[in-house]
Amino acid sequence: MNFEELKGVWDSQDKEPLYVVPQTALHELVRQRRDDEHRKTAVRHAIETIVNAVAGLVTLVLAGCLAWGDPAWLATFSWLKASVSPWDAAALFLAGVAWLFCAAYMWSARRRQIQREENLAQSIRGDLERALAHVAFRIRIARDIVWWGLIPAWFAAGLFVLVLFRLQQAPSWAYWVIALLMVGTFVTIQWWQHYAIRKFYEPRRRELESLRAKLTNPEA
Amino acid sequence: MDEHEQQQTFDEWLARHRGLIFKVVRAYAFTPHDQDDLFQEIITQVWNSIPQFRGSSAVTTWLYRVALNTALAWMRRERRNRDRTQALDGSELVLETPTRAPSPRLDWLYEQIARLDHVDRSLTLLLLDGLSYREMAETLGITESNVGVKLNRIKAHFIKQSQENTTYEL
Repeated sequence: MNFEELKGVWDSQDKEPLYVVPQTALHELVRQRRDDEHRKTAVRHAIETIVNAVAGLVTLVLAGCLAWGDPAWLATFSWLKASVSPWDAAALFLAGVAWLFCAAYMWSARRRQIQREENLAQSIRGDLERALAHVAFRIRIARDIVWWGLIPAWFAAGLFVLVLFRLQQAPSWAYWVIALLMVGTFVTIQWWQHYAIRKFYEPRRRELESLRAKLTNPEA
Repeated sequence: MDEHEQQQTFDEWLARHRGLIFKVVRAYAFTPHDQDDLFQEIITQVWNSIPQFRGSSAVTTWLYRVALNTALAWMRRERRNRDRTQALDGSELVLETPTRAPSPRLDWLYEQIARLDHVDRSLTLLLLDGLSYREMAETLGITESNVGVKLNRIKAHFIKQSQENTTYEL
């Protein structure tokens, strides 16, 4: 067959549709799918941000109570076994700010990602470039989250627990248990992020780069 | 653009050009579930793209751009989710395959297209649907001369394959 004959074979399918789609179902389908996508993104976004923001606000309120609360009122709390020092309030205030910083970082990172995904690429190459930028973004986030997301939250949680333990006059082994738990969590998350980069993101980046090379190289 | 206008455009595009979307679906997805999933993904992206359409290109070129971008992104994602997708094979499908006269030549052509890599597959669809070199270059984001070189190779490949194969009444 020459190419014109191949084209004739191709055009023959226009006479009879390959598939049948119920027209009435299409709008509902698009609406459902879009709602589903928006809901998933919104839930992820909300959980990451709200957990940190709520932790931050609660800690700041607690810091405020310890700093400016009436000593007689504070004495009514049975769990406060030690006297409150200004350092306790300062440490809690610092922890609250760190948690709020994490919330703001998560929120802005997610917003940037959503904005990137909403912009339609103008060509397949543009889409590939965007996908590559997205993978680079995920790798950067996976590496940076330790410094901008994990360590501040870890630091905040550490301060929070330390102050509560001191005020409750917790036994020394409790400090050790919490310290071990925190170090364990930190090491596990660190390991997971490096594993995700090695196992998922780097192979994906190589695949996209190879596709781009294939697209731009005429002889490929 | 309000939702009513968007819906009108969507209905009009799908009424006139749904065949184009079906071709992309069949070229990139091979099981009924995958074809259904890709079709849904493409029409969702077509809907999302409507407010961005400024009329600077033909509707068919725009739709090919959206459909092929979506298909390539879907393939990258689908490969990672293959296990999950296979588990959903029993779910109800939107796309129905009508009873039609068998067309061994068309089946052969789709089979050959499926063997190409992603880039050549996109180009082949655009070529067979008669888009100009300029439109193909815009859709893919490469130069017209690059398109020309690739197309010459693809045409030669198809002609050679059709000459070698005799089992499909070619």
